[in-house]
Amino acid sequence: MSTNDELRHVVLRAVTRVAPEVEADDLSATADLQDELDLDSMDMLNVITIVSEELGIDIPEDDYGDLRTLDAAVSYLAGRTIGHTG
Amino acid sequence: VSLVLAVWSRPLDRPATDRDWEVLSVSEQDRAARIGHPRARSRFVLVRAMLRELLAEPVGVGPSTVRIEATLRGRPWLADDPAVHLGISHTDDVGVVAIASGPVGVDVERADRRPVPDPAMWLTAAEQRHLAPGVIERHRQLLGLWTAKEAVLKAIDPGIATGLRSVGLGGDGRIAVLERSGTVVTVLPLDVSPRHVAALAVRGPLSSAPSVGRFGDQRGDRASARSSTWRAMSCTLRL
Repeated sequence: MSTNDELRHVVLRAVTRVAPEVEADDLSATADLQDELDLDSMDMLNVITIVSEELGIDIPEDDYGDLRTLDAAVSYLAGRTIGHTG
Repeated sequence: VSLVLAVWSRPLDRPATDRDWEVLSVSEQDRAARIGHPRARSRFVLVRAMLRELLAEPVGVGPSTVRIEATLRGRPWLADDPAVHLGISHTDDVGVVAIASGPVGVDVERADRRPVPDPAMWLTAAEQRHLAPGVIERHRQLLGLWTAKEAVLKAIDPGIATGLRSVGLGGDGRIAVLERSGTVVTVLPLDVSPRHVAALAVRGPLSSAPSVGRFGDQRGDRASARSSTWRAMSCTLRL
């Protein structure tokens, strides 16, 4: 199972790949990613694609709303990766 | 039913100034302040200032006094006159605003934007079957489909997470049907510039063919008196 820290790194890496100008250290864990980083829907889908590929899990479209903040994304992914090797 | 529609675009080719910040409401300023990246923050301020400038004259107040609220999904609406519907979108270099007498959504993307997410993530099976084989043509087609679907979701503002795959576009990309509700939305391509792909969506089927003009073809509306950097078009759609 992936630890929450590992999952946080996965999400941050995806965000900084899509938006290279983002300083990962400055990102609030509870802020809306789209609002705080001015990511649009296409950026978010690219982030989700990268996370999904890196963790080897399918993230259904209905669940995209569960990845709106860093904390929410980590919590969601922790639930989804139980049983997977991280 | 007639839907009166006006659309404006403006390059976002300068940083936001104090004057732009000053016309924003406190909540808009708060939202702008939360945007971490300076250029992104500047763009948000410019587009919101643009919207206020456009609304000030018809509302009959100054730009800073226009009452703009936001839905739960962050979409702006005009508290001074809820019968007026707003559509707003921007890239890093252009802002587009639509003001209409009915629900409207707009979306704009840069034509050179890459990468576009894997089509399997956001296109229906039928849409994927109709993708062009050539790389360049397919990229443009994908951007057209993306802006169409985004505009549709903005026009219906479903209030819950409704995904792009639940918006099914017909063969010509002009009519969208929402999978769950069967809601019909008309999509019109917007000719913002050769460097952009943009779409506009209104609820319902049109009862006659649309005659959406090119930007810059404005018919004597107030935008013609503004700075030459504004481009505008207006039309009436029969629904």
